[in-house]
Amino acid sequence: MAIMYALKSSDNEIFEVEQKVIEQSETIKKMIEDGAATGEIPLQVSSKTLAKVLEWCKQRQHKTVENENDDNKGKRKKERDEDDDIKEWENKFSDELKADKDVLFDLLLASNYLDLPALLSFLCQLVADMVAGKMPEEIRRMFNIENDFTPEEEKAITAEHGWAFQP
Amino acid sequence: MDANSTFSLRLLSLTKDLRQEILKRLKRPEILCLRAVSQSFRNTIPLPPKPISPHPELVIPFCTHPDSSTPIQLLLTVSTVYAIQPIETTTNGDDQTNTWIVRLEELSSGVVRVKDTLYKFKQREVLSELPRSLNMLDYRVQELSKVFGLVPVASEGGNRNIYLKKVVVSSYPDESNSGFTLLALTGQGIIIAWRKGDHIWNYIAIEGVDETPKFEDIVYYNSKFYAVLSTCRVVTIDPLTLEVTKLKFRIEGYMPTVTGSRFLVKSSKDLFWICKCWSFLPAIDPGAYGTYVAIIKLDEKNNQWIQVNNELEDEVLFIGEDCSFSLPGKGYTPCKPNTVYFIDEELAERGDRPGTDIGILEVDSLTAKPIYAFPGYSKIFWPPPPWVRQNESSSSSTDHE
Repeated sequence: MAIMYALKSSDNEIFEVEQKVIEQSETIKKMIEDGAATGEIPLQVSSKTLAKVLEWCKQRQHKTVENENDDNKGKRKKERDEDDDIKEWENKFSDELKADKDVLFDLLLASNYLDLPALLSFLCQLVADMVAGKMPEEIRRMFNIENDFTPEEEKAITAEHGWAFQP
Repeated sequence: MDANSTFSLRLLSLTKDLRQEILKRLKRPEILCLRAVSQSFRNTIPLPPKPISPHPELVIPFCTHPDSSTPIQLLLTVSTVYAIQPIETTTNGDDQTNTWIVRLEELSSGVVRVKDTLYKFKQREVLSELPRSLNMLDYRVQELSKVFGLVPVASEGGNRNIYLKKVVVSSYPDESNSGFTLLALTGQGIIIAWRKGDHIWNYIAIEGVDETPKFEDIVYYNSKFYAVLSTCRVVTIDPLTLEVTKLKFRIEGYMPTVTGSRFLVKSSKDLFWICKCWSFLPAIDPGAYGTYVAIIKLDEKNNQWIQVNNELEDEVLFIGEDCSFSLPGKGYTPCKPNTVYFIDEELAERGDRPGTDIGILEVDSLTAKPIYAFPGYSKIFWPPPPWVRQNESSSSSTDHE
């Protein structure tokens, strides 16, 4: 029987989770080890965000368990298929987050607070990819923000971006 | 205020550490674009350091023996390979060139020097074809690779020059950076390493190998150095401990050992190991003779190499004398997807402009030809495309939108 823990979100919703799943969070793992995790574990994370955190953790946990049970034979082919499955799952996860940027941002803070380095790295890459390769005007359009530079500031920016070739 | 603008404001309110986690995944031109978005972006995002060459603060003592009395003082040079594209793709007459790959060195005087893209020592008389200046905000500027080198401090005199084939670093040394490791491949195929704070350089040796190993290429990939030996082995070198680990490989096809040359090159997703030699080509014709190339991909998860040959997934790999880089897939004209561009001693004497003296390997057929066999293909390197030269007048103003 797997050991279960009850996590309590900031809006008082209870999530029953297997120890192995939630121990990916260094913050919670430490709470459990310190014996501070008797009864419900209160977290400063909303239920909506916590649900997403657990979705991520369960997917990661699932992957590790399967690999442990494999023998070497056929492992490579299986891994390739699994890689495709994980990629597909991650793409879907990213698309959902990109569609709801409030959740994306809250999840970013939660991954930092719960000390989930893999999730934090995934989310930072997701945000970086949103702006990478885009011109300032395209970023303004994406975020719906105004160009509020004064002519003097515009000049300073141009200077930062200039290349003068060796005469 | 809508969800998108709220999101951007919340991103700017992140702690410095979290903001840095995002910014470290972006290259300098991308961070400069972010800073050019609005006042709040500009005030929040720090100006990324300019890659001034040689590095203004770093002086590296060069000695490999503790008793050496007067070490040579070395400076770290840096140049950057950029892919420059117009903001809007317009069909411009017959010339479809939409990408210019150029290697630039930003000197402390503020001027920018154009270097040969793939050959280390070639000096080109190219200035008359260049615009006087360029503004990065007028183009899509993608940073493909940073290329490092070491030169003696000028006062040391020219006679104490040392020849290093290639220099790679674990990260670009800036003030925020505490740890930094530099690996240099000498002309004799020896690797020497220097960590920030080291008094002497360390030789990289391989356990169980008596004679000095002869290395052919080095690269920094996924927090480790990789080095390929002339005996077709690849090892990793830990940047902190300098510990050497041998990697397994499983190669089904023919592998040229001893003869030919071996290179390591990063694509956008993977690390590749390319072996190239003159060889009989039985697959083409029993009597055929030509450039044989084997393409091997790192399978990081299983810590081994796998020969892939014809799957580069449209990537284009570039192998230079002191650098290697890649372009991801299609959309870069005139660049042939699924190919490897490489330097070649046989061709090196031919061209007088960057990119005219290299070879192209078509990965589908595994056949290599000089670039002049593909008319127009050298235009990705030279001359600067018409849209760069035409745009010069606007580079002094900011009406880029």
